[in-house]
Amino acid sequence: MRTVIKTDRCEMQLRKKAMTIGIAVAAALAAAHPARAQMLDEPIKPLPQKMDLDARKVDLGKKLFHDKRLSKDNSLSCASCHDIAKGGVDGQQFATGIKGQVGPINTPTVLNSGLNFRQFWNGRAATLEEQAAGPVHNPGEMGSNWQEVIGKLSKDAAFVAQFRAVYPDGLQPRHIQESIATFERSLITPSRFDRYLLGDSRAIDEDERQGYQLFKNYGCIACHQGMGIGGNMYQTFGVLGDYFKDKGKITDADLGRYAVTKNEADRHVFKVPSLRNVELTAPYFHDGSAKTLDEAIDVMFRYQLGRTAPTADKALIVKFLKTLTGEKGMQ
Amino acid sequence: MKTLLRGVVFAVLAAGLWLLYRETLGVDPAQREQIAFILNDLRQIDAQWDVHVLRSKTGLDKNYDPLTRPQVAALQVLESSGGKLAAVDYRLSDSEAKLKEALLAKIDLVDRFKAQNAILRNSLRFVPLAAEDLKTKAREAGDATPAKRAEMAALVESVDQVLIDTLKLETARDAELNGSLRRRVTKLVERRGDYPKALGESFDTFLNHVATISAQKEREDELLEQLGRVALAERIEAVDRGFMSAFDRLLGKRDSFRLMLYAYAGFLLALVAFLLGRGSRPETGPAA
Repeated sequence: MRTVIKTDRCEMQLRKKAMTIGIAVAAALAAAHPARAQMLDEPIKPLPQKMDLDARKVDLGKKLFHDKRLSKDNSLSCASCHDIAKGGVDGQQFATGIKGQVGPINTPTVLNSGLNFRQFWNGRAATLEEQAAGPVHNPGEMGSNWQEVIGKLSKDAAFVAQFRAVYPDGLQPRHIQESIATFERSLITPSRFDRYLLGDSRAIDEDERQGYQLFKNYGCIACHQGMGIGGNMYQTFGVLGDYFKDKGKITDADLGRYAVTKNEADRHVFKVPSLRNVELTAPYFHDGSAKTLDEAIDVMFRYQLGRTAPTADKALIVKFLKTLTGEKGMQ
Repeated sequence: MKTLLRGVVFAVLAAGLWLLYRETLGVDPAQREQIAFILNDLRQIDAQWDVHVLRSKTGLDKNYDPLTRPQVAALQVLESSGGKLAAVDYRLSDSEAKLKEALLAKIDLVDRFKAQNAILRNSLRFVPLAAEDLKTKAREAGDATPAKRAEMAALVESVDQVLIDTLKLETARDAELNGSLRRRVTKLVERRGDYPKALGESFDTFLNHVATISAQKEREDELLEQLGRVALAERIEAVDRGFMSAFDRLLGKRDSFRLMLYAYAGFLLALVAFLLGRGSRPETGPAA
């Protein structure tokens, strides 16, 4: 009996020691590696660490994305408007098509477009595959068609060989669309803010953290949330103020989702754009009317949030928005 | 002539065998599992949707990704099922079309719900701050004269009442309360005096948000009612029932053809045995 009690005591003492050592080791590890801290539970979610995509399709899609033969006069590729080195946009108010035709709408970024729940400002394409066909066929953009594109590409033996290695049944519109879409899905841009969300508290500074808090407090987060920081819902442009009345001269592009559904409730409704890389994607909005981030924030406060904010608060929000720029070099 | 006749008879018998064999191949048992899998996916997606609509409504979901994911998944599932049902039985294409219709209706309503919910939650969060700002500015403006003080005290009281009614709307689904709120707002607007600029701006901001909450609350009630009316679950079950009975019919038909094939094959074997027997019988010539 006595032996049993003695053994129990020994066991308890050993457990206590083990616990003390365990706690000390855990504390030391936490102090040494703050980045290993727990992921934050925020309305914005970090980008995935890895994309599960077919590398051959990504490579093929990249070639097609930069191939000017996709346009009627071989003058434009997808990259002409979606310059990946410039944040996936052209930096112009409106897109420019073949023969210098100026389009009706601002070019949305292709970066992180795989996170969008629909494509185009008015969400008329459900997938990136569907979207890829749009500009190729639009007379104001690339002004071509698949038959013409395939005709030109099939004369390039090296390209055809590479294509057949990925798609044994050869050049087909759906394969071209799929490979471009796969390449576009690979364009994700992890930022400093993602590191912060993953638990690295030193990834952003105090001003940027305050800016994020203000971004949430003022209600910007209501629409710009989730992994894409937008891109997962539609919203009326001019919720608490009549943006289009103040703008005057309404164009077809201003109709937004109404152009797709013909439902009066969809007038001036647009897909909420992602704010990832927003620092690089000026000018802003579907009409490219805001030349700077400060201007865009002013418009958002006035027409979407229906409130005002001190200049200092807006400056902090701009600082936060700049933490959303992708860290890796974009090529 | 005799050889030609033999050839024709052989061809007819072989064609009969091939036709019967083909009929037994008509149903792939894996099809049942594939469709059951797709329908189960849709059931799960639908259930997730309903949960996340409620979680978004109450603010438990911090973003709309959980509500958006089922939308994308549902479209992908529908795409992958395209034509599979009609391939089993053409009559199923009608239930498949109805299922697609319900799915698209739900996607559309969820899209509208997200937009509405974002506005409503934002304004509900801001309206107490807007009321506080308005009351502070009203008190400041009331310092001028006793008459002004009385006017501003009345304004402060009205603002409090409007704020209480507005916040009550968050949890209540009450058209009457919303109606009374609108009447209070109308009175407040009618009584609007010649306010100093800062007070006037604060007054407009507060009322703008109250009007937004009132309109969006009404919209939310409509949307939730419409969402409740989308018979997606029923359509999934209808497709499931229709598919399973069509599949069972096909299985029954296949089994009948299989029996017929066995019988026919037996007949052919007997025929071959008979012919072989006749061919190998020793010729019995006339006795010498």
